[in-house]
Amino acid sequence: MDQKLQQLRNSTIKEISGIKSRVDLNRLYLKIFGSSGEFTLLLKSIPELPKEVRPKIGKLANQVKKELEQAILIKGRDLEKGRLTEKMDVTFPAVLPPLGHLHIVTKAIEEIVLIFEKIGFNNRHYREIEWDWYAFESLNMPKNHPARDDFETFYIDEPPSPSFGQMVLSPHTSSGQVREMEALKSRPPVRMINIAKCYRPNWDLTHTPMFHQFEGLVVDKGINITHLKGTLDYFAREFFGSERKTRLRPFHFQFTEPSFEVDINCGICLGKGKLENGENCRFCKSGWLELGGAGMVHPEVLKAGKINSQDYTGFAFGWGIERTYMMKSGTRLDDIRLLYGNDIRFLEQF
Amino acid sequence: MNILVPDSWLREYLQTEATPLDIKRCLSLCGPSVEKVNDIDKEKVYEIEITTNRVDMASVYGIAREASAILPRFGFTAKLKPLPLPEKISAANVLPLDISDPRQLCRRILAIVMDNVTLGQSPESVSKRLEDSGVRSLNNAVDVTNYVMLELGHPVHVFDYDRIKTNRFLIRTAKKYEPIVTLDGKKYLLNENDVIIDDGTGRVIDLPGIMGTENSVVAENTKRIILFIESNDPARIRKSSLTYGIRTMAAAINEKSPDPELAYLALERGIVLMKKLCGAEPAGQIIDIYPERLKKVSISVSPEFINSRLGKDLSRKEITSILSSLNFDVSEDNDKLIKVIPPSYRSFDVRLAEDIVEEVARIYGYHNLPSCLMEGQIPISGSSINFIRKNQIKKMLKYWGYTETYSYSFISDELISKTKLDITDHLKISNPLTNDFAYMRISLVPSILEAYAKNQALKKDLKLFELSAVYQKKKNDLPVEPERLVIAENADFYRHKGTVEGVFREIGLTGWTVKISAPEFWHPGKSLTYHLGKDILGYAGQLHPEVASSFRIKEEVCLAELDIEILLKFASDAKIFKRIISTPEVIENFSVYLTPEIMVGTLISDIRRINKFISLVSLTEKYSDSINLEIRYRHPERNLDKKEIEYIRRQIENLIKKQFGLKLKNI
Repeated sequence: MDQKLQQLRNSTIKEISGIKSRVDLNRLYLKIFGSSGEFTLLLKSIPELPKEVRPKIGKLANQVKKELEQAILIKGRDLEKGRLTEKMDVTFPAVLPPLGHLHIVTKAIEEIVLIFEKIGFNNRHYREIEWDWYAFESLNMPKNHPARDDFETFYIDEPPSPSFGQMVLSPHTSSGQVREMEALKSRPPVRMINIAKCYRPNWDLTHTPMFHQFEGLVVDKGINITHLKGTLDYFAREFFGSERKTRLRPFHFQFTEPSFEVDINCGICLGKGKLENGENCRFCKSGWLELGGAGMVHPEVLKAGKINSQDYTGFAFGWGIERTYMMKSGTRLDDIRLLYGNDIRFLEQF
Repeated sequence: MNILVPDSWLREYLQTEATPLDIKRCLSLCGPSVEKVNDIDKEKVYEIEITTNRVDMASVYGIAREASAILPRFGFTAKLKPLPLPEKISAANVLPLDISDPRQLCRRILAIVMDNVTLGQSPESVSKRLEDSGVRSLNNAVDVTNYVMLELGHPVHVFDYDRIKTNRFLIRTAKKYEPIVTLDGKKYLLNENDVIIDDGTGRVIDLPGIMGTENSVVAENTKRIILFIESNDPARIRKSSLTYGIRTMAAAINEKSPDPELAYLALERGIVLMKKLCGAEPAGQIIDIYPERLKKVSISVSPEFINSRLGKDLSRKEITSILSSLNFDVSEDNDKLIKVIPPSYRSFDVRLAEDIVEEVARIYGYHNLPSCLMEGQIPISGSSINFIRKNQIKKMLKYWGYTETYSYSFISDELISKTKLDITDHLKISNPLTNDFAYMRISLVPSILEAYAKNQALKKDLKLFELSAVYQKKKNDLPVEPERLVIAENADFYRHKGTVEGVFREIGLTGWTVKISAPEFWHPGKSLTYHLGKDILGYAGQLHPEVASSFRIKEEVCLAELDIEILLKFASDAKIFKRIISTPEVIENFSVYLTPEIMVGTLISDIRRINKFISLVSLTEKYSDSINLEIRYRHPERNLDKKEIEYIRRQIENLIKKQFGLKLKNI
């Protein structure tokens, strides 16, 4: 028995030294110490030995067990260490998952919608092809208003509606204002953000005949200019950054009274017009950049939406998505027509 | 419109210590937007945007008047200086002039004949101001008219008295195709909308308010002139000016309803300057045809109303002082209301209480109002889910390697015929920019194929998609604008099919069925139509070779067009929990030899249905002549015994062999 144990120890130690992998080491462990392992079997035969040799053999068995376990443990550690010295070329190019590209207009729309949803604006999508009445007449635009000229608005070659006039490609999302009032059965509160494609007959570096606008409209009791300012400041902070703010300047639109032009302070000089080193800011020239138009809803528009302008007031703003997003991202896109040219070399940049 | 105002000219009427940059900043915040201050030889010239409702500001004097109300709000002193007094008109000899406007086409007509004109160059003080304001200096008589227009904001015209042989002005509308030659030598054929001046013989001698005609303007040897102003119908002026593309500054002002009261001041100023610059003497009194004087508007408004719109409480005194600074006549109406009468030059644009709010608010300063978000109830929405789903679809495609395109909603007739669509199904634009943008599309397919063709040489595995509306004509109504998803890609048919069905699965569609072949854009033998109940979800498959070649698409391209409205109608986020089953699955593999007619999809779904213990049938390998199917079965509560397994296996084998007539490889 004594001898058998010694033999087992020697042969196993030898075997351990030749082992190259963790798997083989585990297999060896089971071969020795598993439920029918060599050592286990030897140990099971101890009761059969004469009583007087049992303590001695027991002691020896214990010692062998410890020794082998120790050797396996050390071998295990060595194997681990050995693995750490393995190398591969980590500079080899990565295998990427398929990564396509969303159009920047999609990204801009999603961002804008999320910002306005947080302050309770409903996300709407009103028609692109509209009756003159929704596009102009209900917005307090007289028959001879310049926006109705056929080089400002596209007209559809279809018979006009007796009550709503000609069919037009909506030149602005404001056509959704009275639509929304009607959708709510003329019962404020109205808080909507209407995003749609718009069309105007323009074609140059900064204009495409199709573009996107987002239109904010709020109508409720007690809405005043300070709420428009608050909403625009909120949007500026969320969309452009926490240090940005807006200002209103007088302007003129038929469907708002008063009407404003909205500026945002320049992201580089923060409205000062000068850089820290005293030089004039070359990005904005005067500290402010033009964002777009806004105003308090004209009583005639509320009337067209069958809302009593004595009880309710509101504000509205309608801006180009492309322009607003360009101002944020600083993409330096010098020809907006690229947006709808579908050149993969352009699309894959975003 | 933008106007140019030289600083020195402005200061002739405005006394202030404010610098040009102060003026730019303050006016922009409370009045007209001063876009730039240009430096032109020692002169600062303001470039100012005039909105269409404020033609009263489209002049040096108009800006001075506005600045005198605004600058004091910023702590500057600013005084408006009066216009020089007109001279008393004494005519030594009277030259006859007869003006008639039988149809009252003009709101007001003013004219005076002047004699002893000496034509020549204007002094530099005048010509430089004109040039700095963007107007070319011609000769002293014409320069006077432009000088008055720039200074006061009302267009003025000058005729050669002797070239109008009849001494008669008859205002009438033109006849169709009546010819004229304008002073710049261009010929136009007029129409019935245009207002013209006739010398009584049928000869057209002016296109009033827009541009003079060659046959009546001052010439080299002009001695006697008629200084002439008319307040014409703004809508007609605009229409004529746009029809013929004659965009003069006079037309730009006249189409915005300049103040007829101002017209008189302008004529008086013209007389003074004609005398000063050309030595002219009046030859008769001023002719003034003004059938209906401008009515003053009176608006009653309460300070509470104004303050409720502002969101800030201004005192009655402050409101009154702001309105007075703008020359509004303010008086007490009663305890609650104040009565406001705007000056004549504002009577076209200030008509409502809301207009008064605007005046008070802008002069008080929008920048001085607080900024706060509104309180109040938030309306119920329910409109977000479709937006979220559409964005989900776009994002899954992006992360599956597709690139989103946005193409124009327009389509050309060429593209319509190329794709064999019916042109009469398309809405036509009456005034398209070009032929490329002449119709509204009814399908996204032509657009995406165009994009594909354009990019095919640039990228090997081109994968494009677009989600946009199409426009379907309706009789006597607006079109419907359903949204579509279109995908075009250079991919294996089954991968393409996988993308389409992947979209279906991701938005929670179940129970769709397919029918072989799709409409005309697709290869009849390599395409599918997806149905769900009675609705068609869309089409997918290989592009029809003829369509491909008409777009010069070289590869075998797969194309799908899906109806987003229908997809969203059936989309669902609902997930129903099923108990996790942990009984072991039996996994069996069947290798089946294929025949040309076999439909593997039908085979799989038939196997799936043959026994309720079959939990999965999946295609694991596809070879040229055979496929491998992995089939799993399990009992939900216990292990299947050998007999049961054997029974299911037999069922499957029988189905494959007998019903489908196929051979099995390894069994």
